[in-house]
Amino acid sequence: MKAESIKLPRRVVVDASFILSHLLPDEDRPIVEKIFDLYTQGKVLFIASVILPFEVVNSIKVAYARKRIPLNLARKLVQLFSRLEIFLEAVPIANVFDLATNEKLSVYDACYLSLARKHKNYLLTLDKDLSRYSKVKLLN
Amino acid sequence: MLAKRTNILFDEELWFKLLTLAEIRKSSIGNLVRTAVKDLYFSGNDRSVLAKTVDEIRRVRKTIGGVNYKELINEGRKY
Repeated sequence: MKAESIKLPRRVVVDASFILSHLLPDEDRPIVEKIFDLYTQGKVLFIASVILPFEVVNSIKVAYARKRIPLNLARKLVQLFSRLEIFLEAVPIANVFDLATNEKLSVYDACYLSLARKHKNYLLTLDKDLSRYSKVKLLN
Repeated sequence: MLAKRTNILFDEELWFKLLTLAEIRKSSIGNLVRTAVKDLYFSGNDRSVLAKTVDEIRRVRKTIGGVNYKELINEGRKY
């Protein structure tokens, strides 16, 4: 999907890989930047599972531990991430368990999928396994 | 722009307190409710603040070639 052709509903579910691709980019991803532009313009709201902050901050910590980023940058990214407005939503854990076992996903990924299903499968992810379930394809 | 309308039901006591406060502050009940909602649920998250935050992320972050997000997340899940 090209950045200029992206069409999203007002509310989309985001996972940790999507947020990390903005905080710790591995390459130019115009589509991710375009979605963040829509977000700052108030055209899109981000919704996530309550596990998202832990996953993002843990990943930043791993990136620091592996010496991919210095400590001051890791700290700054955590601080900036905490300022983003992301609506955290709890998911029914029994349903998450069923989804995880039926779809052979981790319980963590099933949390995002459960939320995505509630929001018409608009899930922003760079995770290949999860992107199979999403209406929005961010990966080539 | 104020373009969305809703009806809110109050009990008599809360309504009268709100009415009194609106009169004291020379404001409207609608304005008091809007201010309270912003302060309680969305403080510090107006659009200009979010735009500044995203700009700052773009300024300070650095591109890390070859990062595998899935692997990074899974590593984090171990601890």
